[in-house]
Amino acid sequence: MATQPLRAARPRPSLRVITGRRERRALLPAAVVLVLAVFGVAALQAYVGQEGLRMARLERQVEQAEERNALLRRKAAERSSPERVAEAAAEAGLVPATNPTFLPVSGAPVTRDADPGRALDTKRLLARTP
Amino acid sequence: MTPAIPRRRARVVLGAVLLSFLALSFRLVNVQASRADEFADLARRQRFRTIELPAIRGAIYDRDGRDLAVSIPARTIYGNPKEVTDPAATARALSPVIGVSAGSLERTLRKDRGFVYLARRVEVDVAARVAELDLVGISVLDEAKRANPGGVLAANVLGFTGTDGEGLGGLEFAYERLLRGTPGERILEQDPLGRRIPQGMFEEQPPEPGSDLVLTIDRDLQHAAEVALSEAVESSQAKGGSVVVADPVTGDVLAMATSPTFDPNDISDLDLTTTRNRPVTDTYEPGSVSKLVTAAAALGTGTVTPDTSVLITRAIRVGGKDFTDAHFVQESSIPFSEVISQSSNVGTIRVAMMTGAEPVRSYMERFGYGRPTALGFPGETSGALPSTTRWSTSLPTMAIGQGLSTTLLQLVRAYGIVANDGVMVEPRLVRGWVGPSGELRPTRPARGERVIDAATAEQLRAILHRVTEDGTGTAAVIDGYAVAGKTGTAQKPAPSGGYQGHMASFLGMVPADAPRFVIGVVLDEPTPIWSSIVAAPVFREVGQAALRIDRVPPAATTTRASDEETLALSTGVDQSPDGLG
Repeated sequence: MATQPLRAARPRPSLRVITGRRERRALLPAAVVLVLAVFGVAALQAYVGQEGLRMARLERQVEQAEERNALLRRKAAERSSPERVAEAAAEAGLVPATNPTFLPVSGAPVTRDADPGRALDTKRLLARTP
Repeated sequence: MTPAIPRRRARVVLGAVLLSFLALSFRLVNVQASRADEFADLARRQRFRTIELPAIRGAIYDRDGRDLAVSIPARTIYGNPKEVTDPAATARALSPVIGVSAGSLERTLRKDRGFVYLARRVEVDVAARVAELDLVGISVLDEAKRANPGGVLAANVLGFTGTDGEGLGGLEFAYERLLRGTPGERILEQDPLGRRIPQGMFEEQPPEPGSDLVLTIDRDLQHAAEVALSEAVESSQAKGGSVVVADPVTGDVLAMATSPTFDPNDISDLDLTTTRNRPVTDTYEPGSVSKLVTAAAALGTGTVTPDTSVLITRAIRVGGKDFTDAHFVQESSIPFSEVISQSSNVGTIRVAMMTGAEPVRSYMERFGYGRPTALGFPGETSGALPSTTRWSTSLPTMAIGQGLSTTLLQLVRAYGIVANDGVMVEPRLVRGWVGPSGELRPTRPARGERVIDAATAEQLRAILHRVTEDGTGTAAVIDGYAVAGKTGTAQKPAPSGGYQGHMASFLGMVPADAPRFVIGVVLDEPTPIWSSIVAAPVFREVGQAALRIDRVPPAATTTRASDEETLALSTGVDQSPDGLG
């Protein structure tokens, strides 16, 4: 009968009891992170909401400013219309120059040729239109 | 207590639970599978609101970019009669603010509907006052409305828009596609009370505003033309009238006035007859102003020269009909230029018969009679140019401008040929449009077409200048400038046949030696009927305004500008300017 030498008995690892306190301690940072994350998200949501409202307010302000601009533009156009200008001139006692007279200026040097007439001012038009 | 009862109860309960699950499963399949799209759509409609963003209608500018028609913000007041608890009190409160009678408002608010308009497109401050009233069931809607800052200025050219902002007349109608733009939309998520959820979905497709239209009209000259015309219509008690001012070289219509007219800002009680753009839509028998074309045919074919003597008698009989000259009392021979300047019917007919029916008609065609202009204006008419050989009296009748019809704009185009050294340029009202890029896209320039040679045009201008020097058109003279033009007092066809009433016209150009403006004036049934008395002064007033606005120096000033002794000269009635003839 063959025999087998006896193995030396290996030492058993030392066992210990894990206490609940240590487990809780390990979970604490995770819980803090979670709570912070929840509050963070909530705060972010609140901030986004607030900014959304602010944006809506600003949009409304832009709309109001555009409306005001359009109304003022119309008012300016009305006040500069020829009919209105003629009315204002008449109220101020002005009368149309129906028979203009060109006066001779003796001895005065000619500084330039007579105005050949106004050219069509397309640049001005382009500058005015958006 | 036996165990059978709980077992039965248990079975019943189990059955009920199974049935419930079955029902739930059925509903689940129904909701999630078979009608999924429908419910998803329903949910979308509850949660999402789509708001149409109206496109801003393009503005209409004059040639220098000054506003003629613009879109401005407005509000519409509407109500929900189902929410209005006291219609009478609500109507009483609203009435003074929106200017609608309380009775009418109350009737509207008593209707069995969920939505009623109370006032469309009112001013923003009116809507603000309505909002301050805080009335239950009354709300305000944002809209835009068209405003013409000049009121009646160029109203018949611009046209008008309807309640929904669409073009219904004039250029507003003709260029509707260009002006209206494309509406956009805004999709947003809302809470059950209809308030926007700030973090919710928000999508916006902005509207594309309409293009702006840039006209050839000069606002100041348009005003001057309208004032001169309305004064003439009033003082002569005419039924109406028209004025057109055009640049003969470019074809640009600088002013186009109609009387009576209308205010496009208030079309609630609109008389549609006042909205016609008469220079384009109304035809009439032009009378003596058409003698220019007969003269062009006679000179162009070499039948006569300005100095050719023409026999003038009290009357000339053609086709059994007598054509007379009221103001020529004795038989005489006068130069052809005087035939036109004195507006002799007999002389013109005699020369037309020497020229021949076919050449005369051919020249009328070449001068644009019977053919609409290239303006493309809604309702433009082409006039009528019948055959000169239809009746034996056709040639003499048509030679003096009767028996055919034209619009005032066609006549301005014809006179433009003479002003532009024989080249016809089609009139145009639109210089171009400005798109979203802000760049002016000019309309294609009109191509000139030679109708008569430059020498003939110059001869005709000289003859027309005589009209204002010692002929029938002396009332058209503008101090300091050479004027060329022609009077025309024509009979007006009656609807029942024959003639009844008169049309008084004056067509001309200034300065005569190098015309900058062609001006046409016509008055419908004025008193007195004579164009030399009623139409020629309108030409003078409008011409003066055009020369002043365009800063055209008087002829005398131009010739002496190099004189070291003189900056400018005194010009007056007694000091004839250098000119033609």
